[in-house]
Amino acid sequence: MSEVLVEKVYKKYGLTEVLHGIDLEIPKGQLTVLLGPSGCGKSTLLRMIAGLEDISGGTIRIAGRKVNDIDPSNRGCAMVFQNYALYPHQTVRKNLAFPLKMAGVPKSEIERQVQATAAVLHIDMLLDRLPRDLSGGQRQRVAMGRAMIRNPDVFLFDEPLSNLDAELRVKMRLEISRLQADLNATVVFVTHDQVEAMTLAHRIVVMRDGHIEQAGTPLEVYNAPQTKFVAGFLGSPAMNFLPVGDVSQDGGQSKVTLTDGTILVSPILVPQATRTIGIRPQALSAGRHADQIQIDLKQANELGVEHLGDRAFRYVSAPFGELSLLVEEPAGAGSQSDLAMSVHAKDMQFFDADDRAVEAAG
Amino acid sequence: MRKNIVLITFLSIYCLVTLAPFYLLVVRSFTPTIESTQFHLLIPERRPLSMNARIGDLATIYNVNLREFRREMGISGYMNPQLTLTQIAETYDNVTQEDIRTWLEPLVHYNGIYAILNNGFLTSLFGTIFVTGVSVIVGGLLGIMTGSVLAGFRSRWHLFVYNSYLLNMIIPPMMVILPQYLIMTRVLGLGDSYWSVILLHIKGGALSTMVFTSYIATIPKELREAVQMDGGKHYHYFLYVLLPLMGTPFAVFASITMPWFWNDLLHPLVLLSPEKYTLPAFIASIGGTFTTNFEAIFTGVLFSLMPILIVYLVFQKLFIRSAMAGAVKG
Repeated sequence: MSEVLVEKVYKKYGLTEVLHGIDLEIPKGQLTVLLGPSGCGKSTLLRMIAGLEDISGGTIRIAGRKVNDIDPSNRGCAMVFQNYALYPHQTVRKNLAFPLKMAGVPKSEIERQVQATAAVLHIDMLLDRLPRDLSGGQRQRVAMGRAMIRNPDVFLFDEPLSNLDAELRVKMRLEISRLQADLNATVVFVTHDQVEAMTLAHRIVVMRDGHIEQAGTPLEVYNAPQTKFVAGFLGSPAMNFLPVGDVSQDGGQSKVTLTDGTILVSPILVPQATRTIGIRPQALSAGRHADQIQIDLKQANELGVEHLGDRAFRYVSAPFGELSLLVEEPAGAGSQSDLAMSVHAKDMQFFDADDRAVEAAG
Repeated sequence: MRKNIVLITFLSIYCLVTLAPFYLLVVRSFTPTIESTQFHLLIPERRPLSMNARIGDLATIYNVNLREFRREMGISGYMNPQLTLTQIAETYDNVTQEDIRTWLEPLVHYNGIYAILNNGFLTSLFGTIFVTGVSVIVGGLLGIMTGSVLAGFRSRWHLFVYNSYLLNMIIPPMMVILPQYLIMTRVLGLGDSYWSVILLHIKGGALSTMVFTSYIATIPKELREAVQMDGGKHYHYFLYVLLPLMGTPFAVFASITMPWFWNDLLHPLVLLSPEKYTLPAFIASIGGTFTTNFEAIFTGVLFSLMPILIVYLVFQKLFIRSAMAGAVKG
């Protein structure tokens, strides 16, 4: 059952159209992540669901009710802002109580709920402090508490972790995950950080330039990207793209000629329409392996090695662009002969001239 | 360490130089008018009251109220102002030299203070506090309201409104004094009313629009949106979020405009009657027509500075404190 239903939603600022007909279902009790590069319209979409932006066309339904013309506060949404937006001169207690006070809840009830919410978030000892005396993580919790206290149908998170340092970000990520599960809450989470998206989400919606590129579970999106953009956006380092010049099929095999003249012989049929082959760095191994497809680049130069301790990424420059591959530690600087690579046939992904994924036959 | 000493010495000297005029003002306030052409570093010794002085001269130079003098001394009817104090004691049986001396001596010795207090300093002070206070508070509130609307938008019409406010500040007040007077007295019916001066101050303090608009523009829009999400209306945002954050810009606005309003001479002089004069106009008027009581003028200036100095010291704290800290990521 979908909690939020977005149907053919457009957004225009003057003559500029920033969202081009978004259709999206956000399931109840799940955490949906809107993922995309900055400027792709993901925050705008979130703000339209919240009611902070007008809807230029289309409808948004929350819990089955059309909310296009309903005030933000009556939509049953609560929002956690990127910069927390705590009321600076009010104590944590008053910050938490503010939504209830606006709703006209009696004082004793407010106090009880503030205590309960604070206890869930472990901020009960901070209630009489001002936001400026709190650390980043504590402010984040207060902001979440202020959203939780109204018991909303939908939680909206607008890049809430981007102001925290790396360690705290991991901690808060787990915290949000735990809270979401405990409350069985419907959450829409906007981020441009793909690690955050992969780890948090039940469903990822990848957006680009005001379109939805793909929606699905994290593993679906990662393993079976429907477009070249999605393939390149998820995963770090990014997927390697080999531009294809020509594909010829011969019996059960395919011969693929890359634009620089390198020839790949594939035991599976590569679709004729393929213009790009995508290979994740993790799937690409150095050296020649008999059971794999060999990639002997005609001209390539070693760019450098990035050591991560347990493994390393080697970067290689080829005439059509950079390639990266995972190598075992200890990884010394490679020699020219090391620039041969191999890949399992099943780890290749094929994209046509429109950058859409094409299935390998057989 | 060496650098610190140099810095401290330099700053101390700077401080002394800045404070010197205030010290000289204090000295001047207790220097008799007769010695006002000389430079005094310390308050000079007073000469005792000469019994050969003519009562009329004392009246003109020291602002002595002759009617009150006659009432106190029990002199009824006409008294020749050419009489010296000794002659008065001789002329009137019921008046002794001692009586005259005890009544006149403090009046002459602390002439500055007596002269301003007896001529309506307190009324004038309260009038000034009223005019300045109302001007700053109402002007500030209007500025906050205007600013909260203008800050959010950047359309052509908002800029037009904003600029027209600022344009108002470059018109010299002297140029429009007559039309202003006519509008105040004939159209608005505010002749001889403090409100006429207050209105002009608010108009002249259009600076408030600039100060508050630019400050409110720095407040993250998420705060307004948070109130919106939490179910608050715009006035909730104004009351619970915006107003409490206005301490710092209000201190800036008040500390700039308060001296203008407090020291305004022109408008009260034109628009008010002498009984309602605010302090600068009052001080200008006790100078006298034929002689000038410098002692009273300097004392008046000194005393009129005191309240605003106190307010200044109180407001200073607001400058240092950053009211916004902690609202968003710091």
